[in-house]
Amino acid sequence: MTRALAAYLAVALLIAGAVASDITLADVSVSLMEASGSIVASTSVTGPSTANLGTLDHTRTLKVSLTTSLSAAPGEDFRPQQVFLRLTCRSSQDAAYFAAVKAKDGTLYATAKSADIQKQVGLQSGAYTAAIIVGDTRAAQPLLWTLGEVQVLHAPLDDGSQPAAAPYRAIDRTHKPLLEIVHMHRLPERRAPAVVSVLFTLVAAAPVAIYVAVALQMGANLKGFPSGGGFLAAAGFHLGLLSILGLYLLFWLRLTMVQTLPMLAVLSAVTAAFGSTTLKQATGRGSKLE
Amino acid sequence: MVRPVALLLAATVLCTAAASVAGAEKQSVLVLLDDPALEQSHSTFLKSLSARGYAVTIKPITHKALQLKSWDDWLYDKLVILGSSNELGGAVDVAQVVEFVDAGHDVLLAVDSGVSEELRELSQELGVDVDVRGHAVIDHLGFESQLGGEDHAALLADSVVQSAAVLPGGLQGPVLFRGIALSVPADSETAFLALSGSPTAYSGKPGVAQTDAKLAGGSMGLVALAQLRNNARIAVAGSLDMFSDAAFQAHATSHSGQGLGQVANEAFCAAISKWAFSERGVLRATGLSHRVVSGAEPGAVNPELYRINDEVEFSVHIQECNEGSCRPFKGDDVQVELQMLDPYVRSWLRHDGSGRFSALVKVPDAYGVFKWVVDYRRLGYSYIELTETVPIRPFKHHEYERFILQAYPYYASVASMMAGFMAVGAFFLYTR
Amino acid sequence: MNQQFESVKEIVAEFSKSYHKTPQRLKLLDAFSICALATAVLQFVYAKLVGTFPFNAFLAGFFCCVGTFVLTLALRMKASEAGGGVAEFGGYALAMCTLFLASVNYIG
Repeated sequence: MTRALAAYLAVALLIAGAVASDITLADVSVSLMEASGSIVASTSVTGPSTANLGTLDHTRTLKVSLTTSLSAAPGEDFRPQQVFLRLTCRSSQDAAYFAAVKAKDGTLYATAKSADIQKQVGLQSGAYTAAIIVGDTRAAQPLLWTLGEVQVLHAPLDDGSQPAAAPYRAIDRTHKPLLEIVHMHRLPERRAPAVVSVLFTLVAAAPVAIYVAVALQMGANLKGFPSGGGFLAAAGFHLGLLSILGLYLLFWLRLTMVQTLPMLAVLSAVTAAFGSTTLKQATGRGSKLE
Repeated sequence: MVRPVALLLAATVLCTAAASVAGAEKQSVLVLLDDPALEQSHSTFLKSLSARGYAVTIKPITHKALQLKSWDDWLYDKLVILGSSNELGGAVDVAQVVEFVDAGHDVLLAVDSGVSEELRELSQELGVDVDVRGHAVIDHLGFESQLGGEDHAALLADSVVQSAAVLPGGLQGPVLFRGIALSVPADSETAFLALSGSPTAYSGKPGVAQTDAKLAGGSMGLVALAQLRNNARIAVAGSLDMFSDAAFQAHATSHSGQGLGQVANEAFCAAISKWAFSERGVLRATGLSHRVVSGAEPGAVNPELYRINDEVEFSVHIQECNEGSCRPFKGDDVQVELQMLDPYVRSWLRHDGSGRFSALVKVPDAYGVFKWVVDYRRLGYSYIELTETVPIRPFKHHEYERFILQAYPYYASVASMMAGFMAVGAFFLYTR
Repeated sequence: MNQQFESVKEIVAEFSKSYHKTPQRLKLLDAFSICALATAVLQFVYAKLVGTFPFNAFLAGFFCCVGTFVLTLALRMKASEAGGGVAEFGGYALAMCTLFLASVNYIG
C-alpha cells in the first residue's frame, strides 16, 4: 500500500515537473547474428565503451537490446520517447539511425543490417562507431552511450572486393568539376629515313638511263629526222610535246588545274596540228621506204 | 511672374522623374502571413526587407482578392510565405506559385509544425519534402532550455552548409529553431540543406515513443535551399519562430543550463533571404569569344568554321554579383567542353584576375558540327550554361603537305617516264 | 626431269633465236616496256620496304609506269603490223600525255 502510494506520489510530482528523474539502462547487450538467427558474438555493456564489436557483413544483423527504467517510477513499464541505435561512419561522419521496438518480453531492441545502412548513408564500408541515444522529456539527463566499433561490409562485388563508395547525394556528384579530356590526335605516319629515299630516287631514275644506253648501243639514232620542208613540222611536234610536259611541271609546282587546262588546250591544239602533218609525212616516207 | 511658375514646373518634372527612376529600380515582394499578428512579432525581419530596397506588400494568406499575376503580367518579383495551417486564398494556389517560380521568380517559404497539406505539396513541387504535419524536431541532448525545457522541441542548430555564397564567414553563433523537419531526396540535383540537425536530433511526434528513425541527424534538414534549373531560387525553412523578433534577441542557454551567448538568427535569416532573393552568389557570364591562334585562318575572331588541328583560344568573362556590386569571379574550377554528342575536349578555363577566363584548345581531328559548352554548377552559385556552335571541317584537297622527301622516288619515276617517252618517240620515228 | 629441263632450255634458245630476227624498232619499244615495268617494280619494292606513306604519290608513280608499259605494248602491237605504226604514234602521244596529266595531278 505504501509502495503504491509512494509510486503514485512520485509520478504525480514527476508530472508536475518538480522531481528530476533519471533513466537507467539495464541488460544492455550488443549481439551479431547470422541470417539463421545463430549468435556470432555477444557483448554485455554496462557503460560507454569503445570495444570492438565485430564485423557486420551483408548477411548478418546487429542487435542491441536493453531495458529502461525511470528512477522516479521504478517498477513501472517505462518506454522512453527516443531509443535510437546510431551507427556513425568514422571516415565521413555520416550516421544511420535505427529506432528500437518493444519485444514481447518488455525489452527494447534495435536491429541494423548493412542494407539498411546503405539506404541511409550509401555504400560506405569500414569502421562505424555504434552508440545508443536514449532520451525523454520526463528525464533530466538523456543518455548517449558509445557501444564500440563495428566493421560494416556491404554485399561484395563479383571479385570479392567491396563496392566503391560514391557520393551518396546526387548534388555532390554533379556539382564537381569533371575529368579533363585531351583529344588524342592521329599520330603522323612513320616516315622513312632520308637516306633511303634519296637512294631509291636514284634507283628509280636508273632504268630509263639504262634504257637510253641500251637503245644507243642497239643502234638507235636520229638520222631519220626530216630536213628541209618537213623539219618545221617535226620540230614543232616534238617541241610541242616538250612544252606540254613543261606545262605539267609548272602545274605541279605552282598552278591549279583550272589555270592549266586552258593553256593545255592551246598547246595540245598546236601540237596536234604539227603532229598530224609530220606523221602523215612520216607515214608517206615510211611506205616509200618499204 | 513667369519664373516661379517655370521653377515649379521644372521641380514637378524632376520629382516625377526621380520617383519613376527610383520606382523602376525597386523590386516588389509579396509577403503572405498565416496570422496577421506575425506582422508585429516578425517586424524586424519584414523591415529588413524594405531596408534592402524592396517594395514590400503584406497580405494575409487567406485574402480573398489575392493574385500573383494580372492577365500575363506578374505583379510581384519575389514571394515570401510565412505559412502554417491556413490555405492559400484568392487566385493563388500551388499551381500558380509553381508557375511563378518557372517564370524565374524567387520564393521564400517558412512553415511550422502545423503546416497545411497545401503548403507541404507546394514545398514538394519546389524540391523539398516537409515532414508530416504534427511532427516536430526534437533533440533531447541539444535543446534550448529557455524555450524548449518542457518538450525539448526548441533546439540550437549549428551545422550549416559550407558555402561562401550562402554564408560568407560562417555562423557566429547557434541558430534557435523550433518547428518541423525537412528533407531533400538523395537524387535531387538542385536542392541542398543550409541548416541541418545535430547528430542526436530527430523528427517525430512530441511526447510519443518513436517507432522509426526516418528523419534524424545530419540528413534531417531545418532550412533547405534550392537553385532551380532556370536559376530561380527557393528557400524553405521549417520554423516560423526562427524569424521572429524574440528569436533575434534571444540569448541561448544549453540544455544543461550553460549560457552560449547571443543566437545568430538575425544574421542567418538575413543571409538566407539574401541568397534566396538572388542578391548573393549570382554569376554572370558575358563576352563569349573564340579566336584562331594558328591553323587555317590565324587571327580570325569568332570564325564560322574551324579546320581540324587548329589552335583556338576560347574566352569568356564571368562576374560574381553580391548585394548589388559585381566583381570579377575568381573560381579555379571552371571548365569548357568542345562536344559533338560527346565531349571530345574538356579543358580548364584559367582566369587572369580580372574576370576573363580563357583556354587554349587544339581542335580535334574529327569533323562535324561541334559546340563549345560551359556548364558550371557549384553549390550556392547560380548556374552558367553557355553554348556556341562551330562546325569543324577537314583539310581541303590543296591544304595537304606537298613535295615530301619520302615521295622523291615516285617523282623521279614519273619524270623518268616522261623523259623515256620523249626518247622512245624520237628513236622510234627517226632511227635509220 | 632432265626432259623438262631440256625443254625449258630449248624454249629459251628457240625464243632468243627468233627474237634476234625482230626489227630494231620493235626491239626499241620492247626495251622501253621492260624499263617501265622495272621502274614500277622498284617503286613497289620501295613501298613495301618503308611503308606507303604518301599513298597518293605511290599510286601515281606506280600506275604511271604501269600505264606507260601498257601503252608502249599497244604501240608495239600496231608497229608490228604493216605500215610501221607511225600513224598510231599520234594516239600513243595523246594517251601518254593524258596519263602524265593524271599522274602529275594525283602525285601531289
